[in-house]
Amino acid sequence: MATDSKRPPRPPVVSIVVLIFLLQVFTFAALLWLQLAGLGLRGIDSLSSDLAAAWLQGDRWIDAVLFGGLFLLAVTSAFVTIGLARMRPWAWLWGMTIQGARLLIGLIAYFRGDPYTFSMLIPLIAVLLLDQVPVRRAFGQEGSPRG
Amino acid sequence: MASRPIRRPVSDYDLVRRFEPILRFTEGELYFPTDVDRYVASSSLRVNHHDGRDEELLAEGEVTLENLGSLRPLPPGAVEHLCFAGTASLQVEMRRALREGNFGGRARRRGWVPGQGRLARVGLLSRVVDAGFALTLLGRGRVPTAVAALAEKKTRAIDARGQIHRYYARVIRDGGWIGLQYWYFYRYDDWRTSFEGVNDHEADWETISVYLYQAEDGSLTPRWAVFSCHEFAGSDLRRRWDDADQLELVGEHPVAYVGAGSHAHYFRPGEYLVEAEVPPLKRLAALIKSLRTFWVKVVRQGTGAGPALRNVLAIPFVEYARGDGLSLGPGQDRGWQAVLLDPAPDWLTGYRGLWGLYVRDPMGGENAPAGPMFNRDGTPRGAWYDPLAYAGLNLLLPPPAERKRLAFERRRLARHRRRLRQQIEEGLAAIQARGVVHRAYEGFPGLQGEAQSLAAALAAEAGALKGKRRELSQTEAVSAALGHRLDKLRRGEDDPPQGHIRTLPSPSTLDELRFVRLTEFWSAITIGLLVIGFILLVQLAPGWIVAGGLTLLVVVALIESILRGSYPRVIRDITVGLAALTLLLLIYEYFGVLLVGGLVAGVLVLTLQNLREALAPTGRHSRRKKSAPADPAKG
Repeated sequence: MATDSKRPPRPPVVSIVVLIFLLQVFTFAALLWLQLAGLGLRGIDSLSSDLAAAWLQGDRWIDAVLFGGLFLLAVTSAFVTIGLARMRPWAWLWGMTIQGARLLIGLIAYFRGDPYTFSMLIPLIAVLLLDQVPVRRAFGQEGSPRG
Repeated sequence: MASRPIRRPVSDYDLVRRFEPILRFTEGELYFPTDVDRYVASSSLRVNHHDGRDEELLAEGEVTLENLGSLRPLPPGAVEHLCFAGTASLQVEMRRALREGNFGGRARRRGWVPGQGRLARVGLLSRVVDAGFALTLLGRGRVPTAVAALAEKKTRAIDARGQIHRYYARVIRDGGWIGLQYWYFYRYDDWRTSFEGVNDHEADWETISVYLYQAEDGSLTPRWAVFSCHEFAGSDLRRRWDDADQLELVGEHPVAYVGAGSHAHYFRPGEYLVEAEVPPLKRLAALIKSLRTFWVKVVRQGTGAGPALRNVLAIPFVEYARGDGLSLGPGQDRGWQAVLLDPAPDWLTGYRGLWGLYVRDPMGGENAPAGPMFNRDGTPRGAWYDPLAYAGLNLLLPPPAERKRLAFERRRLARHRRRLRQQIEEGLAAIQARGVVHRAYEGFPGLQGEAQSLAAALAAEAGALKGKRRELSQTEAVSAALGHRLDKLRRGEDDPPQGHIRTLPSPSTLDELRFVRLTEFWSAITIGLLVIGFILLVQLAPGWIVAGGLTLLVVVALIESILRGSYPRVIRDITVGLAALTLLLLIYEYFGVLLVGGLVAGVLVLTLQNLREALAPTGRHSRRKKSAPADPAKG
């Protein structure tokens, strides 16, 4: 059996991050499936009540954008999950970008009056884990320039 | 470069001349070190009263160095000050300056070429603080721009009668050091109006010192050069004479690169990014620094390396110390005229007022400075009354004196150790003897009282003996450390030349910028764009102020990171910032749940611990279990 002896050992905390990302990929996939099945109202509602209202008004354009965004997020998350599992330095940066986008969407929704703040917990945990010193070091981010 | 030791006795004047520094200025500088005589003769003496009234005490032409130093009673809260660019002609001068377009760009007309914009060198938050600082200039006292134009006019008129480049020097003998302190007087500081700096003020006093020591053979050897530079203090101000990386020498003369307009001294030529602290924001800056330290060190997030923990609320300014202009000093474009302050003249010791215009600036930067001996508030200036502490030399001895002191301390410790050993030996013999007696009391109930008091006395003596043994051990460790240092010095090994420097300023570079012109343009318009964006949000979408504002900030920061080539760092900072905000919101939203959850978790942990203790095998049971296999005879 061929093994990559040069690859650094994966810290346990990275495995937890991979699991979280995997969970998110499944969540995105489920939301996409719900949308395709025409049952995406709850998924949309968790992102923004305004968008839900637009849906109810029959605004298919917003629905298409939302579907595209979700699809992009799902595919990117899948790639990032693989990258994180294989300890690729780019995966750390993209992982942070995705979680940052999720937090931003969650915060915008919160300030718009969305009551489902608990949905921000998962990206929050992911960010805190990704920013841990051993994780940063494992992905070669510890000595990055900080101008 | 090693300096030639001076063996023959020299006068203070010769000593001062021998090591007089070379000052190299930036192209476009107008004000150079000069004499105080003609400046004072061209100034009026005024007093600014507590109620803001400015009263003339002596008119221009009446002020001399003699009457300046004579004491005058002043009402409480009054500030005495000279006035070089006369206030009476300000309106006329302002009109003239406007007509001639002489308000800004004076240094550019004198040949100064601005470097990369300061705003392009720093981050978004620093630019926001800078915009706030610029707005404060409208409200607080500042030197009118016309004063800069008038000061230039007067300076040119005085210099047309002959230029004098003078320093005032004194020799200090203190703590084994011989300090040569050079003071430079400039008629005006035009950092803000001419070189896009922090402030303008009439008159400027700057200082450079050279510290020598007497070697064992009686020769004098230079050891340190100390340059005044903005808010730097203590050991950060000095460089060692043999530190060729940091101190440039021409023969025996240290070379200083003078900041354009500000006249601060730098050891290396270049453009420096100076961070000016804003006094009202000092507490907030300290709080932010504490929070970031907590985030990095306690929460173990990110890294504390590099400038991560720098003051983000400081205002960035570029200091041009290029050294491509006039050079003053021995063998340079022009030489020095030296004046020894021995004895200190009356104008130095008696005049506690400001050497130029007082504009009631609460932050102080626009008010003229006092003389070499005093601070702006009339209190003694540290650089004058405690020059060793000012340069962080009060804890240092010159190398030969340090060797002598180390040897002396070791001898003293050796004597102390001998005394301690003897005391320990005697003490041990005494308690052993009394211990023998104490043991003999055992089994005799009639001696129970004596036995108890003897036991108490023995315990006290044993404690004292233990203390002496500890002291001996510590003294031996100290003695070994002293010996190690002494051996090192005797072998001729010196400390690292920059080991004493906590903050080492280095010329800034812009290598990391990808699109320099575009970044400069972006930096110049960002704050305006943000303000317009917020105004549009307020006007057009008031329900989206917080969410829209947050998005606007993130988008601006991302564009900036792409321009600066710092995308990974910025994306991390933004995401971590959003995470921190989310964390606070979640705590706020679910505080009750978190509290109950925490309490339940605590109770569970406590119960589990108690149960584990209760269900653990008892001592007897455990002993039985353990002893069973240890008794093979029974098996």
